[in-house]
Amino acid sequence: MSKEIISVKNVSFTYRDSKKKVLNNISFTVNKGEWVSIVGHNGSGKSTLTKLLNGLLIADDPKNSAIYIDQLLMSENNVWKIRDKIGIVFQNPDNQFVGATVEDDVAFGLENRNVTRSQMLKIVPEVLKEVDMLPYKKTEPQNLSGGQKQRVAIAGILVVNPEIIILDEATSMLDPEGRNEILSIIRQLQKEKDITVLSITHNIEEINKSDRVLVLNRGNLLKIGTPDEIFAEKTLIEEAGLELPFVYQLKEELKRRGLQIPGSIKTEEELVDYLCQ
Amino acid sequence: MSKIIIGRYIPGNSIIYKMDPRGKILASFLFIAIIFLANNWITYSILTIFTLLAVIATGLKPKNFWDGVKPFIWIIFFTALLQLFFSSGGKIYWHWGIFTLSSYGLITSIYLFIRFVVIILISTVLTVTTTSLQIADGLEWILTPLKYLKVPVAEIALVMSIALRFVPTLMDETVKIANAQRARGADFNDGSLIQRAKAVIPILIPLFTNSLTVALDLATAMESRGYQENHVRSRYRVLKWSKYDWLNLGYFLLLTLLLMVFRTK
Repeated sequence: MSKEIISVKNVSFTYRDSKKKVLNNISFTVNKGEWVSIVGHNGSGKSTLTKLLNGLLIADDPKNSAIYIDQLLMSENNVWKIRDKIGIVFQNPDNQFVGATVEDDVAFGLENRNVTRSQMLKIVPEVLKEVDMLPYKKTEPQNLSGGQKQRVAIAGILVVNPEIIILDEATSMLDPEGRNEILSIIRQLQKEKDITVLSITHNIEEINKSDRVLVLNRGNLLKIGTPDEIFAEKTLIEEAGLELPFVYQLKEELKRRGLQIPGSIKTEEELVDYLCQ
Repeated sequence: MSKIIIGRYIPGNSIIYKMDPRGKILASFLFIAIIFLANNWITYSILTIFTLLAVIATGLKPKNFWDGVKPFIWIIFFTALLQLFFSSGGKIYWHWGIFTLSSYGLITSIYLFIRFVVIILISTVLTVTTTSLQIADGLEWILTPLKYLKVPVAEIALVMSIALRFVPTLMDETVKIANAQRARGADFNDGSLIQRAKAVIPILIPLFTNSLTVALDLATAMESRGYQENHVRSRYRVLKWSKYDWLNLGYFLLLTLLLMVFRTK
C-alpha cells in the first residue's frame, strides 16, 4: 500500500525575470492513494510546485535536485510519460475547456495520445457517466455551470487513467454546492481507483478531511503532517495564514472556558456525541 | 447579446441539415462560380427556381432569409440603379444629361438584382443550416491538400475550433466588462464620434489582457493534457459522407448542366 509515488528532493525554483526564489529547497514524498492538501498564503509557491510536478516548469540546479513520479525521474525524455500519469484540474473552469462540446473536450486527451476513434467512442461515454455528465454530451461550454465544467475537466483527465490528480484550487471559483459535488466525485474515484490526490486549497473543511497537509510559506516547506498535527501548532497555522476548522475553534473556546476535550475528537459528529455525554 | 450565434445557425431537422458540411461548402463555391454562366432570361429563371427550391428545402421561415438579405439591400439597390441609368443600348426610353433609361439597362439591372439575391440566399442556406464547428471541420477537409505545400493544416484546424469555442465566452466577457464600466459611469451611446471611440477603450483593454490570460491558461491546460505540437493526433469528430450529399452535389451539377445548355452564345 504505502508505495512512494511522488518524491521531491531539494527542489528550488526561480522565475526567469526575478531574483527571488519561489521555492526554496523543498523535499517531501507522497504515498500512493493519499490525499494531500497543499496550503499556504497567496504567493507561497503552491501553483509553482504543481507545475514542477508535471514538467511545465523545470527546477533550478538539476544536478542536486530531483523529482520522481512513480519511479520516473523528471527529465526531458520522461516528461510526456509523467504527464500521462498526472492529471491537473485548474482553477478557472472556463480557461481549460478546449473542445467545442463536452464530448469533444473529454476526447481531447485521447486524441493527443492518438487513440483510435472506435476506442474513444467507447471510453468517452463511460467516463462521462462516472462524473454524471452523460446527458450533457453534446452541450457547449457556455451552457454549463461552473461545477459542471469542472466535472467535464475531471472527465477529461480521467480518460487517460492518471495515477495522480492535482487540484489546483479547482473548487475556489465554485459555489458551495458545486464544490461539494466535485470533492465527493474525486473522493469516490480516489477510493475506487487508488488515485493519489494533491489538492491546493484554502478550504479548511477540505484540509481537515485530507490524509496529510503540506504547509508552504514564502517558498519554504514549513511542515508536512496529518491535519491534526498541523492544527495543533498555533504559530504554524498563523504563519500559513490558515484558520482552524470549526470543530477545532470550538474546542479552543471550550478549553478557554475550562472544558477539556480529548484530542482524538476531529469531526463535528464526534464532538456532538462527546458533548451530549 | 450574450446569445449571439456566429453564422447565425438555426437548429432544424430538414434534409439539408443531414448533409455533410464539405458537400455544402463545395456546392456553395460551385454555385457562385456557375452563376456567371447565366446570361438570358431562361437561365436566370432556372437559377432562381433552383435557389428557391434550396431555400424551401431548409424548412425554415422566410423571415430568416429576409434577415440574410436585409443588410445588403442598399448595395443591391445602389448597383442595380447604377446599372439601370448608366447603360445604354437597345431601345432608349428616357434620356436626360448623363442618365439614360434603356431596355438594355433595364434587363441588366434586373439580372444583377437576381444575381445578388441568389448569392446571398445560397450562402444564408449554408450558414443557417451548418454549425460553425461543422464549417470549420469542412474547411479543414478542403484545406487538407495544402499539407503537401507544408501548410500546418491540423494546427490551423485546432486554431479555428478553439477560436469558435471562445467566441461566446469572449462575448459574455465583453458584456460583463461593459456593464462594469457602465456601473462606474462610462457612457457608450452618447457624444461625438471621437468621444464614442474613446469610450470603447475601457472595454477593449481589459478584454485584450483577458484574452491573453485565457490563452496562457488554456495553453497550460492543453499541454498538461498531453498536447504536443506536430504530433500525430487522432480525431474524435468525423464527417460522414451520405446519400444526401450525393443528392446535394447532383442537384448543383444538374443546375450547371442546365445553365450551360440554355445560355446564349
